[in-house]
Amino acid sequence: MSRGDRQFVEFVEANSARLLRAAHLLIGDRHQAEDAVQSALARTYASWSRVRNQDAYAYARRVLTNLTIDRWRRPIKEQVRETFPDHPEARDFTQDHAQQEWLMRVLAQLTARERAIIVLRHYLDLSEAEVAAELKVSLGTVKSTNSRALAKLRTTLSPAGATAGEETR
Amino acid sequence: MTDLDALRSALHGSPPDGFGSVDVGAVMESGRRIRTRRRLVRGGGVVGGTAALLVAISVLGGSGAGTVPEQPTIEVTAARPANPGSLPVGNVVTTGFANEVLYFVAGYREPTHREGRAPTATRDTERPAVPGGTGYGLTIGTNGVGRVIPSQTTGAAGHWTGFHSVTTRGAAAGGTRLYGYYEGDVRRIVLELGDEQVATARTAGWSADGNITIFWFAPRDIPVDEDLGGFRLVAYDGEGNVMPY
Repeated sequence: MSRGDRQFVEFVEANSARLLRAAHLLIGDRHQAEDAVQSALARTYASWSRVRNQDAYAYARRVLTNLTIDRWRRPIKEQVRETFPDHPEARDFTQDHAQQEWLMRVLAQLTARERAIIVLRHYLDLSEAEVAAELKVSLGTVKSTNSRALAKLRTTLSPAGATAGEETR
Repeated sequence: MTDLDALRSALHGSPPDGFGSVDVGAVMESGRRIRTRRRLVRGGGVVGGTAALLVAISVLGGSGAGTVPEQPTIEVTAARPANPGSLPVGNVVTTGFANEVLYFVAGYREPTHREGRAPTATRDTERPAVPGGTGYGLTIGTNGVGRVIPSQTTGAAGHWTGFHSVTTRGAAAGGTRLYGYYEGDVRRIVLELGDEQVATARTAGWSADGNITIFWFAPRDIPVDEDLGGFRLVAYDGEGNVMPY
């Protein structure tokens, strides 16, 4: 194995967990997230000679984000249900499992763009300007979308919001 | 704890069942394929810009399933700027990508001198070299209001069963265009890499000659950052046999 390949293996070992987590938060489906990370890493490896001496993690993250954006731009297939989806309930985080279950439910209430901005901003800790560049949207869009998404999430976090949610069912 | 703190805490938590491990070997193999494709596609992008280069594509020779395939590298003639006044002969095929169309034009002549290179057909002793070509050219263009707007034309060098006018060019909307036509009773045209079938071409018959099938690949099947250098363009007949290149 060449030195570059060894470096890539080390890179994957060091960063795949974080990328998988980000992909799962962005996409919401575990298997699709794993596929997306696999694709992002393959493209990173294809450019390894160029990116390994730069910020390879940022490159892989950008590819992953672009793969997610591609998913937004595909035609949306609406699923018609006979009942409204349950409103997420406010709950304390006493158990990891419950916390993660709650997280995926509240993220599912967001639009794809809101979800991406929340994940990039608050999980991957990118600045608003970096999020704008990553998603190819304006800084203003990032700010307004982030505020809107947090407002939605805040409703689900507060007991008052949960009560209001109950009343609307 | 504020709402935002709670959200951040949850985001940085761990999923209950974890994730499967990444198959690094598979990732690297896939990455190598992408890297291999990139080289030729970079060539394709240049063709789109300069209109008169030659692009190397590895092709599969031999006929019939089970034969040992030869893998000569043929330099396929790339396109030249289309004559804006040329009119379609036969049907105009809509590819379905960004108003794009493919059609034949008449009166096309292969240039006598192509940057010092010999005509493509003379490189293959199995094929007749027809100086001056057939007089037809395969043109890619866009469907305008009431008329087609030609972009580039690839000359047809002669008659034989096999691929003709195989052309690649960068696509404005991303990806790479790979198209041409096949002369013969072809059923399916695919792009293969190793044992893997990468993409299946879309096809349409030419109304002026039932033995001609125009083919093209979806731009997304050939990403712009991929290299087609290790690829084979393969034609199959109705019984699944490999047809001559």
